[in-house]
Amino acid sequence: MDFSTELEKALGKEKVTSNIIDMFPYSRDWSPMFFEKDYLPDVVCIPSDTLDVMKAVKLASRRKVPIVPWGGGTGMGGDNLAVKGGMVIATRSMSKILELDEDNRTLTVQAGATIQSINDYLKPFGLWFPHDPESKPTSTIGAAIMCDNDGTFGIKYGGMVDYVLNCVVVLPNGEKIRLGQRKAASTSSGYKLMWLMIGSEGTLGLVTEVTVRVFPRPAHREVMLWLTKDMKEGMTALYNIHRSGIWLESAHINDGHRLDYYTHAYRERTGRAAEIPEGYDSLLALTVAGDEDVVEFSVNKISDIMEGMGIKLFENDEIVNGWWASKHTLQWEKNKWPSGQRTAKFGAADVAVPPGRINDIYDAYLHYTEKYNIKKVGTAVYNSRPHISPSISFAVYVDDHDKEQVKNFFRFVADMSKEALRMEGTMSSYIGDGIRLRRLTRLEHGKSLGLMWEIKKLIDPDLIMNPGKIFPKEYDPTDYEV
Amino acid sequence: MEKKLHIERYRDDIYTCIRSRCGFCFSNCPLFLSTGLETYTSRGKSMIMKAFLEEKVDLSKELAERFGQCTNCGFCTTNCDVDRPDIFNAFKADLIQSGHIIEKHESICKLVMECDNPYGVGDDGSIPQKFAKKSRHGSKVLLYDGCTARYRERRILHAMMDIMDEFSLLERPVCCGSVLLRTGNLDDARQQALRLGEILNRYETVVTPCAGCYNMFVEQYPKMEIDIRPEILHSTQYIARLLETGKLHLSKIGTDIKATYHDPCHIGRRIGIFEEPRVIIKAMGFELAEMGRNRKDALCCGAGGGYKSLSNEKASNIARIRAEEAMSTGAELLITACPFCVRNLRDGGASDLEVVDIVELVAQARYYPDQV
Repeated sequence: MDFSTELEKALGKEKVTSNIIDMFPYSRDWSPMFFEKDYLPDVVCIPSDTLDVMKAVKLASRRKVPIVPWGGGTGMGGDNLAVKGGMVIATRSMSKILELDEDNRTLTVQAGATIQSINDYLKPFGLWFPHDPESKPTSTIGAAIMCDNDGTFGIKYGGMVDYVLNCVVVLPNGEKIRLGQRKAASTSSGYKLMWLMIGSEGTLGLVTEVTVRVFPRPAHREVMLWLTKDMKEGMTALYNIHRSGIWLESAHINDGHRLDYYTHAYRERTGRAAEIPEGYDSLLALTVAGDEDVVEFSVNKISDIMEGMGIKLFENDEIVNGWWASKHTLQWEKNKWPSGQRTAKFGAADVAVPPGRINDIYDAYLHYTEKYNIKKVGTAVYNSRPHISPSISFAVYVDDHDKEQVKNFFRFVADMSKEALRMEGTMSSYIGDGIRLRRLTRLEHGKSLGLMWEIKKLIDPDLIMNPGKIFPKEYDPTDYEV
Repeated sequence: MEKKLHIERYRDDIYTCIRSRCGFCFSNCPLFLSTGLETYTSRGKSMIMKAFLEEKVDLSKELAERFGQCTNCGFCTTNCDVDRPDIFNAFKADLIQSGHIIEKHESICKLVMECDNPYGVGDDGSIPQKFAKKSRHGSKVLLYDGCTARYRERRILHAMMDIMDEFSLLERPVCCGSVLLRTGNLDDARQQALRLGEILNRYETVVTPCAGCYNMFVEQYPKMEIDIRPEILHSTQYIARLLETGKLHLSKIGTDIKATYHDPCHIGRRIGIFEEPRVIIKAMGFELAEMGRNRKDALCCGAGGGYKSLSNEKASNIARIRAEEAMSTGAELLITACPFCVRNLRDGGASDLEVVDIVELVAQARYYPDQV
């Protein structure tokens, strides 16, 4: 009996397909890659619950079939691609809400629930889950945990380690294990094995159920765009606001190119780009949220700080609202993703640097886009952890029909990564290593990559769990010098 | 000489989708919700069409079966720069052109061409005695009933006759071509549209209770460059206008009754008729409880695009998801504004819920102040 038939027998026919037609939809993520490239799995499995996943993984483990977890398929690093074929486990079919504990403000869901669907569910209860990537209608909570990506409201609520209380993980041997504490917000007991899973890109196991913290939905919000002479000035303003005691809900820095990208509706309506006025170089976008009087007080205080620094407000409601629609509300006439990618593909280097190096890394972006002759989409600086913690999207357009340009894109990513490391930063702040950075992980982690490899082999001795990610090809842990 | 592929003109649109991969097209895709497989989603179909254009998969019966499973609800286009169902219908045309035809679709299309309706029935267009006086051959207002209201949900047709003061009714209905278009029979659909367009142009106003027919006249005929001169009104627009001008009075038959409204895709997200039905429902005194997914985000009932004729069971399964959503609002009445939606939602087993077309309620609530 072949693997697919065996799976069908275990899970039911409607949950398994190995028809080549059904493999193509699972053959690419959102990564820039040569247009004709695809990574075809051999079989796609659509589980309903943890038990289905356990059965599928057990069978795969027995035959040493590669297992590739698939969430929303919007990743930008190839984390969910079947580089060695095998079985894609498409988790969107596991999207049930399992428990809302209103009193303790926790929510337990199946891992395939999209972030948008979680918030649709929470809205009538006056609650929300503030992890807010722009891909939220599609990206799943399980994949968000495994990629440990950033989100719009990170400066107030933090990242995945701050949200996730516990999760059920199916290990490569098909056994399930619950990691993390129960519903307490923190614990000092035991190794933080759940933290090991967060950002592990599905290379250690497949998350099937999650308990996260949820928060009161703010009643009011004010969105402001401020004009700054450079990015560093924006960072200084953030320090000053932080010092004042104001609790920001979100803080982003954009350059002019990115403003244009985010305000496509304005561009379409007026026929011209939304431009940063002369004399300024970048924008600091802030939101504050809460009760009306607190919001009003915060806005006044921020305005005082900005006035003291000589920073002016960008007063154009249409542009401000358009920008915010791209970031959060998604209330637009036309989706910016397809309308921005008619002729070329969006790609990004997603490095993070210490706050003081923001201008230096921006200069590197200008240098390398020119060196490789790549068109800029622009820069978006997120603050993805409480206080000030820039994680940056240095985005470019890639003509994915041109092999040389695709290669140049990866050279650009590699050079930006190396620059970030030189500046005591990190190569990736939201995309993860996937297949795109695995040649460079030695550079970032040195000897500790060897320890990661030992952990990987301990949990996944047959190396079947999402192979080909994070670790360099033909990885030799003793060879950590670059 | 080989015929040119219909999807060639959409190559850029397909490639744009491949570059975007945003997946905003399928969070409410009825086929995805009921199968969990991306093959049936708009994003997934783009990947398959790309593979076809790169000669990695051939046109085949299996491919036809996959592309046939779509309700043409258009949710995929709500957040997209690209009009998705047009592309799918073009690809279905390519599949038909290469001889890969879904038998069930072929048979209903044959019935349309032979009998002017997909049910393969006919009648003499007789009108119940009580409405006979309203029907005038000279009337410039055409009541275009559509096949489901005439042959399967006749209460809806009678309700329309009750509401309208005068109308013309085609003795022998001519199909609008919706089934043909949405199963990929593009040439036949156009022929049908030309034929019916000529008839419609004899009137000043056309009123229809069918969301599918309305969509053909307002959205699809112009795309086929067929000029339609009369004003086209969906039943809800017609009734809302009568209410606004004081020509129609509705009693509060809905007092103390909680109702919810299902937006039919073809008048809702495709055209934007959202408020008229809600105004009418409230005018009848119902307490309107909205489902979480409403207006442009409404979940399809599962009937359209030839899906119900392909698999009544699967279409009913989708209707069940929608009916459960309606029941979760606490409503006891599920109101919609399309005979096909009524039919499928009822088949969807909403046992604790009465499914009704809005015109049936309006006919029931109508009163004449001078007769009170």
